[in-house]
Amino acid sequence: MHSEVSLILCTFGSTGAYVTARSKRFMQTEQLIKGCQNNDRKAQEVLFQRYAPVLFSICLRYSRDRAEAEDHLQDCFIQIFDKIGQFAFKGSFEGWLKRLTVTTVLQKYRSQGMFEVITHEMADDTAAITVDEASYSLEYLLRLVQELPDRYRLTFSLYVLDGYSHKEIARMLRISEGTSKSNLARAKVALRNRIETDQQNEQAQNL
Amino acid sequence: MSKTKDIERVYVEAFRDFEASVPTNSWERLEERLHSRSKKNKRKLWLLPLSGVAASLLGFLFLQVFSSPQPTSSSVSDTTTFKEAYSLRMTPYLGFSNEEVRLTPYEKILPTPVLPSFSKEQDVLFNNHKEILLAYEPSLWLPQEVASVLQPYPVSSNPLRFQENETATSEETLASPTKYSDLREASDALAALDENEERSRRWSLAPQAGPVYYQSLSQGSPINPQFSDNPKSGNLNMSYGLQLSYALGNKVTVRTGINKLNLGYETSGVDFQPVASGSTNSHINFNRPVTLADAGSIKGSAQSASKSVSPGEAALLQQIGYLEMPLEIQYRVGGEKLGVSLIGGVSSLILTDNLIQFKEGGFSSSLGEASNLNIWNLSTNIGLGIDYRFNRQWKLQVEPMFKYQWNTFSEGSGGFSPYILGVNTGFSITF
Repeated sequence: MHSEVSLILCTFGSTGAYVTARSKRFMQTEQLIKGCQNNDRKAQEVLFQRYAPVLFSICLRYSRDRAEAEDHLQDCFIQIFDKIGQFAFKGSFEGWLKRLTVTTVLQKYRSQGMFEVITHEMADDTAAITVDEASYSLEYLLRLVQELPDRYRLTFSLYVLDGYSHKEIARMLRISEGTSKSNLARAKVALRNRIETDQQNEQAQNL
Repeated sequence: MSKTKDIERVYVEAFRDFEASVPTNSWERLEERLHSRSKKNKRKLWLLPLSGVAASLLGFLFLQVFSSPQPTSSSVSDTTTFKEAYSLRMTPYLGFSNEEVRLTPYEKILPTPVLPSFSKEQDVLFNNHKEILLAYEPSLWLPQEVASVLQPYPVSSNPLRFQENETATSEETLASPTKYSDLREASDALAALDENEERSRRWSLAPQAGPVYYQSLSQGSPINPQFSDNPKSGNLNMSYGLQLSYALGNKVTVRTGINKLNLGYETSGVDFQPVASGSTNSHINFNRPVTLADAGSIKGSAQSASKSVSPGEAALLQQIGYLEMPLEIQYRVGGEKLGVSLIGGVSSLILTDNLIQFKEGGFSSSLGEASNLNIWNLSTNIGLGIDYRFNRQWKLQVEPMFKYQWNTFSEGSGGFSPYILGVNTGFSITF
């Protein structure tokens, strides 16, 4: 009798604990945001620890190298804590954070001067650029992207990795839509060339 | 044939759910920055109102002094600036060292003699479309692309090639470019141009004044049909008002405003008798008993000769005042300083003054007001404009306009179709 009751109680208890824990976690985000809005240092730390990994990955693919990405991450969080008062609890918080991160990093590059170069339209920029189907490490692909010239990297990341449209990219980078498409095509060509060159070098070395 | 994959897919799949590991002391560094920021903010709060005043004063002064962007003349630029300002990170693609790319990029990939070699100094050029006519990334450009960029420029005076004393010629097919001595300046100027475009001055306000002349295209008299063949002379009066215009583009402006129009004309050869006769077919609300008659028809009559007070030539002065609200479009051709415009539009006219006077030998007396003037009517306007611009803010404009008036009279216009000829002059301020 005791064991059945205690089993039932345990089940209820653990379910209850689970439910409470989940709703606690959900509540936590709201509380977390509110805490940050009140400049509560502890809330800010928890927010940082929770979202820094995904936002750092964004910084990495917009910045030139890891060191720069770390600086940008800090700047982004400063912006986040500055502007968190403007978050109205509408829509995804993570989406809001990501957008703010992207715009903060773009502003860094804008102040450095983004030049609009006359682009001779590439002969066929709608053709798919393909590479050998091999497995490329994330580190390698990331390094390649980081080594692209600034505006090609930014356009590529915005379009391919963060899903912005050419129209939105044009507005954010203050270029024309045509330039955005051209940047994307050139970025892909450059990456493809680089991958192929590296592969050829590797094969040559292996011979 | 090995299998290939779209490079976009390769990247999307690799980066899906990518969460990077953050360096361990990141939070500590951030916390320090946040701490010092909040301290700074608290200290500076009391400076806020003062800085606001100072900033607006400075801003005002700045606007006055630097009202238009001044490109600097070229000078020998610092090669290290070029390296810093623009990252030569494309070099891994071709295996060039930084030095090589900087000095002679084109020679490396394009041995053709068509293209010039760069000397040490690099100038940055861009045209009025804010496009930079200099390729920074030789490794990513195909030869034909480079050639097509340089194509509009005659090789002899190629602005991308220069020695110390050489300057760009103006034989460009594009609008004349501005030369900057290094990339930083170029990018600053580009940013400034962007800002100027955004807050470009589109509104103008112009107080205007000018003479207006009133006449009719055809014979007729709105006062009394018997005066239809009497000579009428238009009077020259003043009109004054305020014009507000908004520039829709470089050439087209839409404008409105409010003007006070004082118009008048005289009908001569009129006689009057100080008694009201039974019939009055004059469209006048008389303020005293009076009969008007055509002097031409009276002359022959002995009966009226004894009655009339003033035989001979006298005139009726009809004065009309309107409040005019025009809506016009202006198409301007010309340069920055001097321009000629074609102006067309309509005006709304609201009657404000209405007077008919009897004039004789310098003596005039009021008879009353016209009874057939519409309170509201329209005019269609067409004219020319000449403007001379002193600076970004001030402009002088002289605009002769022809305005044909419609619907002036509610009845009995007698074939009188008036028009207004005027010359509006004024100073316009742009903001």
